[in-house]
Amino acid sequence: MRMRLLLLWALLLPSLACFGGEDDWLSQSYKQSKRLPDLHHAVDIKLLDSMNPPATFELKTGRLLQCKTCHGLEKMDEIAYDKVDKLDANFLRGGPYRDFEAFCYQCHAKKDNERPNIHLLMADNGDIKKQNCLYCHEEVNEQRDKARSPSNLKLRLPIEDVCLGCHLKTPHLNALEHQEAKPKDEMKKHMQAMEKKHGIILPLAQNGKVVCVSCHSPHSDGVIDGTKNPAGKQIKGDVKKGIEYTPHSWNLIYQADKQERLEILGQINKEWLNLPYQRIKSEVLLRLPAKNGELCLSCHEFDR
Amino acid sequence: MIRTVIFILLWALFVPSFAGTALVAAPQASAQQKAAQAIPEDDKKWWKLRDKRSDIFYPHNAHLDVMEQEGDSCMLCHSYTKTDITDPKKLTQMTVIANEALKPICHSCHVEEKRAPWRCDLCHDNKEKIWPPDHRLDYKNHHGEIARQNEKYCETCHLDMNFCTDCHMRRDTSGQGYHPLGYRTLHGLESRMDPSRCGRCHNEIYCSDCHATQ
Repeated sequence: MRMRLLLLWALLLPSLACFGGEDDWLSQSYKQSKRLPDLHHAVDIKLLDSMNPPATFELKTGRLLQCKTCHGLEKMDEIAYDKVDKLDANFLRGGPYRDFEAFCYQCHAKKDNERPNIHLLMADNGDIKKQNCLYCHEEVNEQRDKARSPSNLKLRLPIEDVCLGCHLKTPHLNALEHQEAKPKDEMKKHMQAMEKKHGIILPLAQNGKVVCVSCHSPHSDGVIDGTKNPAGKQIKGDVKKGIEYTPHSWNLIYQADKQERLEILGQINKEWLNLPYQRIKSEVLLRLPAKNGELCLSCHEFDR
Repeated sequence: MIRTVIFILLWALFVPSFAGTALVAAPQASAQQKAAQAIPEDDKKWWKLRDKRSDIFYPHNAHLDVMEQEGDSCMLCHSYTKTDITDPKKLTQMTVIANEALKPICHSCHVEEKRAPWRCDLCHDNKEKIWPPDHRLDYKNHHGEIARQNEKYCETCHLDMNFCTDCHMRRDTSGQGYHPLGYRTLHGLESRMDPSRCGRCHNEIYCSDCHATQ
């Protein structure tokens, strides 16, 4: 009997050691795993009486939120997560939504839930909107003519994380690659020379890595009146409008060039991606203009 | 019996490690991993590797002025397009594609309009990577037939006649090109052994220009 047990144990051990990875629940349905993807909206919660979702957004008895409320796929809670067709037209009951928030605003009132643009730091009368400073800083710098030292910014989070409360870590292509980069001494020397040349700052994280604010200036024109300007002239742009693009005829050529490779990637990831090309019309809250490459060349230099 | 027990125990101890390896990577992949480990950490960054690609060379500084004239920026090749992709793995794959050189856009100046230097080897320093497949097998000795049938086929890559005349009309037999250095001294021997071989490229006038009897 002992011998048989030993044999069974020896047979099962390898398979136990090989399986049971962290992502296994993705091959199960919600019904099986009772687990929701990260950052997923809560389910089985009761909607407020004031909330009136569209009639197609089915609720469970007692006005409880269920999968069917947001997703229009048949018996979705029985489909394994990795088999759910996220490209189905009914996955999010319509769309694609130009701004994803448009989907949320079907239940949540826009005026009560819209996130303020805290980069609009100046009131019409020229005063600082102090409540906006406090989103990132623990206290307002009352002495605007004296720029604070990097160690005394009193940020609520480390400089590399402070933007991530509102913005994605991956808001645009090539962002991740920059965030992981740590300029070497040679590049730092070039950056210092460019800071001097353009009269700007190009801050890095305490560990020397590139951060969002190395390129982006969170402060609009006139907020910091110190001897060191945070950025060049392009921060005078309209913060409300943000970055504006203009279509370009090369878009078709650009897309045709990428199509084959994107199709291969799409087949691997089961996700169809598009890479458009458009030129920047106006930019805002950058340390230097990116549309003519000045910003890039403030760090990067080439032998040839 | 004892032997069987020992065998089973040994098997139980070793198999998980074999299975784990098989799940993670194939044997040849582990060799690749070892090779990758030999590369310094900083050189593994994708943009460093991109510079090491032998098939495309892009001199950045040489393009700064023309980019400004054209109203282009670094972002033409290094895309900063907004994205909703949050999975770093997928985003990195997408970024690599976005950062790949744009053949049609490079070629619009360098090939179609010839506003920029149009010598292929300026950017493509390994011609074998851009050769059509039929160029791989002794094509130099057999190109004449195809060239006579369809000259346009040659012209899709060889944009001016210099490429042809460099050999077909050459008089400076300095040894660069088809023949090895010093061939002018030695060519007599080979031409006597197989005159038809010379005739593949040279016509009679080419010989009589120098060897003409008075």
